[in-house]
Amino acid sequence: MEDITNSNHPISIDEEEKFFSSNVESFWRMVWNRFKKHKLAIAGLIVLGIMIVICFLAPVIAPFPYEELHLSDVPDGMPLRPGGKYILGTDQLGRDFFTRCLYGGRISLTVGIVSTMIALAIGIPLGCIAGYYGGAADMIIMRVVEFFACVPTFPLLLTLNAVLDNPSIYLVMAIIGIFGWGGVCRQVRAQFLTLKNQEFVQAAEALGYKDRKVIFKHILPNALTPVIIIATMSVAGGILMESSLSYLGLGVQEPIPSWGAMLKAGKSFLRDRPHLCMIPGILILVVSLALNFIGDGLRDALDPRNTRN
Amino acid sequence: MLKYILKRILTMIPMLIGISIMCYFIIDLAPGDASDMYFNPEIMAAHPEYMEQVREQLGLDKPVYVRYVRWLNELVHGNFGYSYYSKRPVWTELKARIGITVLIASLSIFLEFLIGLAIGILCAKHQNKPPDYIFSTLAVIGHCVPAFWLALVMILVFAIKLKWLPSTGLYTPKLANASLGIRFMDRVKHLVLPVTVTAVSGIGSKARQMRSSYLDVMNQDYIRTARAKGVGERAITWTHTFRNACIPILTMMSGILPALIGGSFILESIFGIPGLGFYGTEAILKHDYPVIMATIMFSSLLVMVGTLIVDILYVLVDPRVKL
Repeated sequence: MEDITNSNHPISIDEEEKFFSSNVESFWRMVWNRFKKHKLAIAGLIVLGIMIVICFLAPVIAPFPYEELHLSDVPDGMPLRPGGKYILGTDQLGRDFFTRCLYGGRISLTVGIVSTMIALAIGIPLGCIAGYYGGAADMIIMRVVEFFACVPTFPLLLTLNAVLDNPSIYLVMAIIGIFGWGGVCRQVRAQFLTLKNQEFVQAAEALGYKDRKVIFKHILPNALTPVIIIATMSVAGGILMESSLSYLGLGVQEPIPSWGAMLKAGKSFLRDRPHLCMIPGILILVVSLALNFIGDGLRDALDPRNTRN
Repeated sequence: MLKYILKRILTMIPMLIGISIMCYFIIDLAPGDASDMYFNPEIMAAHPEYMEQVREQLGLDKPVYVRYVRWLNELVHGNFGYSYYSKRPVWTELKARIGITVLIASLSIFLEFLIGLAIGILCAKHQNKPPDYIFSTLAVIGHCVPAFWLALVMILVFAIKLKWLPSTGLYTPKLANASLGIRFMDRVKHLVLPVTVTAVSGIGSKARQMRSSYLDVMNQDYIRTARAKGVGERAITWTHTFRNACIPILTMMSGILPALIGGSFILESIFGIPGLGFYGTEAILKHDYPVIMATIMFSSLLVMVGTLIVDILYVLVDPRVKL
């Protein structure tokens, strides 16, 4: 039987080698190929890329400095409508709204990214410890994670920011990160639980490698794919969290703009200058949608159940 | 079952103690102390000996853990302390507000299930056809939209531009003496916007979850068997597919409650609804610490009770689960 199938599908050694070598070099190429099929994810990636470039080039693109007041242009304290000298109008202090949207985006995106980094920096090591060692360490860490998962942390976060009285932007990032590592930790732990009994880990242990090397060099790289998905979503979560805090006046403080803080300032003019609320809100929505689509695309591309297709 | 519920209620106690410790110590980070709230700080600074006396009376000269134990002791005896601003007992102000938050939360959860699951099933049944594309996209948008911004948009559209619905509060003051029917309709009108906004994000995530879980179940062997032996389409949808597809939704449910109750802190203040969240946010902005402690404790308690109810529902949907 085997002879027949072989003769039906003759594969020269050259082709076979090519097949395997192309397969070996390209886990990430394969992921990218699958990711490319997810149209919304590609759209998200493009939109997010453009947003990041524009926002981080704000000092070059923006027509005015973000804190520059033009009080003479807004004599009655009523923000200007879009058009004319100011593309998107001004706020009540005569500051150019377009400029503030750019700088606000820079702040909001930075908060999202840095807070996620902090969440990863706490969640990954704790997840490794809990998953690899188990026992008492696992129990303590997981109780803490469960605790944070089933109490409303938002009011606690609000209280912390209120108590710290005008927290600096770095503190806001740190606080959002500190309250957000539970999901990462749980995911890393789950990966470790399945990976630590596999042969390659046993081999590494049998060779007498130190725990640190086994954890970080052998297991962790294999455990990271689901973490990437969570991290994408968590950037969106961080941006939303920052905007909620800033909306209540407990996040990024004046005169530094952030999309949430701009919403807070704009809501007093909701009736007459709705664009002051609409634009920052739509920007938050677009970034959050882009990140969620990317996350969905990554999930489909990285899901091991898909490898057969 | 009863034993399980009892056990769960008992585990709530250490959780509540944990959150109260965290909250108490966070508050302790604040510069100044309660005496600043009661007396003019400038006058106090001019009379240091008087300040010491006041602080001693209030117990503020003691270290933070001593004060915490005292606070806990008072709490056990049913005393939540007094608001720094209104000077009234926190409990009297709080008890009227809990009901409102519970009402809005339960209405939104009901709406989330009703609409979210319906959209999910619709998408799954028309997989990769126009209704699926439209509603799936709407579901993602609903899941991503910042709730407080959506609240502003809704107020702008339905209250300011169209004038269909009131933007804030829970009742119209001038209708206070109207008949019961009119007052009920008035209350319903006031609830439409807050409940919708609270529910939108949940509707989005539930619809997405339901779509994928319904698709999973639809392709199971037992559904094919049911079809083969001639079970009607309606029975397949509701008894075979729907019930099984609901199981992962319920697991997800308990993760949503903290966000729902936490979200009330921002949404209730936008809509001016005198509930637990509004009270809490006001207190946080005014540094009214006894009120902050009480609102956070109660919102945690609400979440825990809600989670317990979800877990009990779980058994009703999936009889295989033994508690």
